[in-house]
Amino acid sequence: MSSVSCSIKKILLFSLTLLACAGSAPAEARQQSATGPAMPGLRLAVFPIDNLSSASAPLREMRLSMMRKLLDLGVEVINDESLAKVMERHRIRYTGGIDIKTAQALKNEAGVDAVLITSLELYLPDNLPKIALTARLVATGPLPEIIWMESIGLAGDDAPGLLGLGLISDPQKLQERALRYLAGSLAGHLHDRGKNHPAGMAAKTFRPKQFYASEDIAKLRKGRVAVIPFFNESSRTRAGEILLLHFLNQLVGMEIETMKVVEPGVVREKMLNQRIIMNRGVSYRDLDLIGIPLEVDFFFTGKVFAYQDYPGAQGAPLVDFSTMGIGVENKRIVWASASYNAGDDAVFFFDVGRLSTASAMAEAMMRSVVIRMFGEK
Amino acid sequence: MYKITPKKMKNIVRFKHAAYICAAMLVFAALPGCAFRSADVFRDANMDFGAIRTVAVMPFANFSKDIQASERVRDVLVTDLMATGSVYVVPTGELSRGIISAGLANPTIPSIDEVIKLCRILKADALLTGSIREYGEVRSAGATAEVISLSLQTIEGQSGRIVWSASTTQGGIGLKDRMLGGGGRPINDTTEKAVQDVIGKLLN
Repeated sequence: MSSVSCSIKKILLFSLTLLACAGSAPAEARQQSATGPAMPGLRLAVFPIDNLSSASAPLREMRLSMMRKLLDLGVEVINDESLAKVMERHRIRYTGGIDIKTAQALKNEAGVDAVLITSLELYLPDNLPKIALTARLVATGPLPEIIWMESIGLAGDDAPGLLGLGLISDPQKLQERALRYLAGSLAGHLHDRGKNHPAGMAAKTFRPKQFYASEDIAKLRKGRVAVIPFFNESSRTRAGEILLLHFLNQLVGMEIETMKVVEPGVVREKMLNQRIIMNRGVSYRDLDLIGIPLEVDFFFTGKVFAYQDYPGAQGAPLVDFSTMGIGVENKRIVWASASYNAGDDAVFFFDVGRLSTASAMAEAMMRSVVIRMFGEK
Repeated sequence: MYKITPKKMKNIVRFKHAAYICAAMLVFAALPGCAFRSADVFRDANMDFGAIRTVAVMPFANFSKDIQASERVRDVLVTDLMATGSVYVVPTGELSRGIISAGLANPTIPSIDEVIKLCRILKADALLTGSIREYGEVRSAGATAEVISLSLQTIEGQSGRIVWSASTTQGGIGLKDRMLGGGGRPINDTTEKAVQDVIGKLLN
């Protein structure tokens, strides 16, 4: 009798363990815990979220939730009134980046040390919701510098677990999970808890299908790099800007101290001032007009042919893009690559290795491109 | 004297029939493969191809239903050409600026004067022009597959002469697809294969 009850206990314990595993998502597992004040004296401003998803989303709630999470994690965030005053005074409407003037104004008038810029890439509040966010922290001052960057793409069926107990059907829950991950990662970085996110090994499936690298690409490690929005040939609006963020994220994630990545807001400001309209790519004249004043050594851009997400459970995201890097000094192409993948490319059995969002795929593909660019395998 | 008995005659006839059947099977097996094997290559015997170091890949004329076909193929071609290390390709942004500066009415089919003018602006030795004849899905009975058919020309920058021309067709429905069904290879893989085939014809 006792042996039977012992077996039942074991079975119950095993079931409970399985249930617990089913509910946990990979994002949560990666979240870092942070306690105590983060970098004492560092004051942050949280910019309104830039909506790249072309869908209606609760941006205000997301921003407030992000601010609350950062405050809970010990990060000092300036209040909305102070930020609104500066934004109003300088007529700041674009919140997808920060230019030199805005950075200086925030530093001098509101005492802000860094700005958190968040972009909403995907928002599908269906029965199986999907969300993708990218956030970066940019230091204010004479030349804005990216301190930290992270992105996350989540779907309600990322970790369905046993009997579908891990499925998330509430978009609010998924949104909170994504914001918690980003806030945790930022707080962890500010607490000096190591790297932004490890570049890691690029999955073989997501490697670029073709690539070219010149000898000059080695100079990238000691250069100043600017990324221009990708030329968008896809049906997804603002896919060019989304790919720019993923590329930037991986460049920053490499954590090469000698390489400086220019904040895209600064490049945008220069392009607007010089009345530069990108016509299917960057020309040599554009390289000089933007590159010389910003002391940029390499420009990167590309083309997006497909950037597709799918609603619901059935389907696979599709990402197809090419990248190109040009040296400012000698006006030569230093890097060219072409990548295309579907979300189920790495699946061999039972949906293991399936990616549910184009954001997660783009991240994996871009990581592979950047790793290959730096000559790592 | 050697005499053919009716029995031997019967064996000879049988052997003949078997040979005919084998030959017919071989022809049938080879036909689907031949259907999408190309192609004609023209190469100017007087041209020193080693002198071509920088090329500009012009936008392709697109005769397919897919509006992205031209840009997709051009993009793969540019990367693959660079990857060979044999030629340098002018960046597409710079090419676009050059096309506007030269005032080309139709960049897919430039005139001799336009070729010379554009090559001077871009400091290119030659232009690569081309056309996409077919790009996308083809269906036959229950089988579907992706097919691409393209042709390329190299126009020398100083004289505006066509010095090289080739075409290729890849993909399509083969015997295996007809017999076993299936959707063939993805269009990107087929494009890559076609581009590599045509580059092989250019460089070899």
